[in-house]
Order: sequence, then structure tokens, then C-alpha cells
Amino acid sequence: MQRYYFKSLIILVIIPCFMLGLTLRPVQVRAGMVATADVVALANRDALQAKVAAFVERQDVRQVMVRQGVNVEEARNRLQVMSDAELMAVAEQIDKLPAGGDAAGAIVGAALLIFVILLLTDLLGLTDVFPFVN
Amino acid sequence: MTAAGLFFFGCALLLSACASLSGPDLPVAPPGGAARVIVRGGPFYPQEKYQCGPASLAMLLTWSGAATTPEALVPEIYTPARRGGLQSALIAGARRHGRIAYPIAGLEMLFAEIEAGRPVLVLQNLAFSWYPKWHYAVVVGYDRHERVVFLHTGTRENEKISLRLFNNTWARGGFWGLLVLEPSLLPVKVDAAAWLDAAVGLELAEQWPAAAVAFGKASERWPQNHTAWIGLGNSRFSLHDSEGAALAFERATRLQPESGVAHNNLAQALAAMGRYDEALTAARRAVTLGGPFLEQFRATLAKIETAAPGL
Repeated sequence: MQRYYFKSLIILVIIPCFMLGLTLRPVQVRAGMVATADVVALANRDALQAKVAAFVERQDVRQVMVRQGVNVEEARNRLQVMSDAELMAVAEQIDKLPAGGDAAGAIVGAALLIFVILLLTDLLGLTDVFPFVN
Repeated sequence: MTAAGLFFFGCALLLSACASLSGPDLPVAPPGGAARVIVRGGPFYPQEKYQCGPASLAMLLTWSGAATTPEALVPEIYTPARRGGLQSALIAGARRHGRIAYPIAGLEMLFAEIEAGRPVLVLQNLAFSWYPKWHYAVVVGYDRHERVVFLHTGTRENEKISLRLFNNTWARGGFWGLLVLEPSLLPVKVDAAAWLDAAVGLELAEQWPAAAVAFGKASERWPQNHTAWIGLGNSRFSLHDSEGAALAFERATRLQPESGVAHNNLAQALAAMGRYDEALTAARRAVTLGGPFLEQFRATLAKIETAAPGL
């Protein structure tokens, strides 16, 4: 039941994000100037990583991770090698999380929070909840 | 629900309905600002069928000093399969003409730019959210007393539209607007990341003189910004100004001594001037600093070692 709910959320929300793709240029290995576009892409990646790392540090997030049997230290390590596309997808979902509110909002918030955490840990290879995540 | 509860609920509904009927709040007027502000100096190009994108962009480009016509832009912007221009196609078109394409959002930014004398390209949905009719137009003025904006839209010049109606159609387009500026002009409310994005766009379009001006403006306005100096260095180097490039990269290394990119690019500029000793020092520093571009730094070092005489 929970899986079905999450799956429909994913189809509505995550798959379009992945389909959009990224416009980051590949880093070309050639002697010479590093292009400004690549410098900007790197700075953006740093910012994305910082955002997701801060999310992992949250107490409510860590509680869910521990309950799912996820090693939080390992999660932090694996963040470094997450792809830009994956970072962007998770960061976008983090931005959408509600800040709190009435009872109905809190229930939706909790489900969404769990969804984002499970998505993240699936992408990090620490859980295997969603079949579409490789 | 009690009768009182229903009454208050009904009032709340009515009030929220009234809010959208009366239209949006006017942005705060600048001190001593006129009630009516019209942007001067721009042409009007009536659109042909489905060519609101090219017509709007042509107006903005011509106003900014890069004179062109809708017909000239059509092959760039108008893709027959799509029956109109995309936002990204408009941005790319502006960049190819050496112009900063700076997206804006909302009435406050719109009014601020009009007050500064700049026309703004806007995306409207003239129909329904479930059956949209997308349209590009150019805002060229407003009148606070009459609560109207003036648009060059379709085949109509300086068309007067109520602020309420404009805001509703603009809202369905996500309040998206675009400034097309000569790169020495900053938007009124300018954000560093967005400006640098636009400048990088010029670099990707290989508009080196425009990119140099844009990054130069960035380094003036945000002198602590590492990316601005890297961009300035890269643009100058592309214009064969190795000395200017080296100065910019040097500044970047002082701002961020841990920046491998700054040292690597500095090494390139120094080598181009024949200052091989200094170039080698910088290139080696880059390799030591490492990072995601390490392979590129190694290649640079190898190239300079080969080129330097007497090694």
C-alpha cells in the first residue's frame, strides 16, 4: 500500500525531472583553459551537495534512515559520488518539503519526507525500495 | 458547521474573490516617480502569424542596439513543428547577438525595469490553463493612476491593458519575463548567479567581446566573486589579450588560493606570453591542488614543459 503510494508520487514527480536532463557540459580533458561554464557547473554541484548534506544532518531525517536500517555515516560518504542529475533531483524534492502546519499538512509532509529519504538512500545504493532506481 | 462559521467562511471566500477581481497590488512607486512611464527608443514590429516570439525579440534586440528584424530571427527562433518560439530559443537568440538575456519574474521587477527605461519581453497565456494559448509580447510602459500597462502585442502598438487582466494572463505564464541588454547594463535588481549565468551564455555562444564586458561588469560589481574573474580571464584570452587574462586569473588566485582552475588558466596565459618559469610554477600548483579537473591540469603542465625552451 505504501509502495503504491510512493510509486505514483514518483511517476508524477521524479521521472519528469530525470527526463529533463541536465545541461551541464562534459568536462573535456585537453590541455588549456578550463571554461567558465565548467567552473559554474562545479560551483553549482558544490551548492547542491551542501544542500543534500545538510538534509542528511537533520534529526528527523536521521531517525527515518536508522529505522530503515541505513548506515548514516555511509550515506554521507556516498554523497560525494552522486551524479549531478541525482543530486539535482533530490535537491528539488527537498525544496518541495512543507515546513509544517496543520494536522493534514503534517501527514502529507511525513509521507513526502519518507519518500525523499528513501529516494535518496536508494540513489546512494543503501536501500532498494523503488524498482526504477538502478 | 455553525451558522456563524458558515458566515465567516462565506466572507472569507468573498474577500479572496474580491482580491483577484481588483487585481494585483501596485509595486511601490520610487520617490518622485511619475504616474505614467513609457520606454522610449524601441521600434514596433507587428507580428506575422505565430511569429510573436521573433517579433518581440527583434524589438528588444533593436532597442538594445543590435538592430534586426523579425524575418531575420525567424529561422533561429521559429520552429515549424512547434508553431512558435520557446523561451530557451529566445534566450539563445539574444545571446547569439551578443546580448545579456536576463530572466525576470513578477510585477516589482517588471516595473523597476520599465522605470529604468528598459522594455521587457513577457510570456502570457491568453486562454485557459487547461487549453493554453501562449503569446509573447513586449511591455513598454505603465500608468499607475489608470492601473494599466502598455504592450506592443501582436499587430497592436502601445496597446493599453488593465493591470488585472495583464497580471492574470502573465500569472499563467509563471510571471516570466526577459530583459535583453547590452552587456554593460546591469538589471535594476541584479543577482550575481543569474548575471554570471547570462555571461556564461555569451561565452558558450562564442561572443567574446560581449562576454568580456559582461564578466568585467561582474568583477566590478562583485569583486570577491571567483567565477567573475575566471570568466573575465577566459574572455580576454579568447580575444588574444594574454596579459589582461593573466591579470584576471592572478586576481582569482588571490581570492581563492585553493582554486586549481585559477592557477591552471593563469599558467596558460603566462605561457602564451613566453613567461615560462612563472607558467610552470602556476601549472604545478594547479596539479598539486587537484580536484575534478586534475587530468586537464596535468595536460597543461605537460604542454608547458614541452613548449618551454631549455628544458
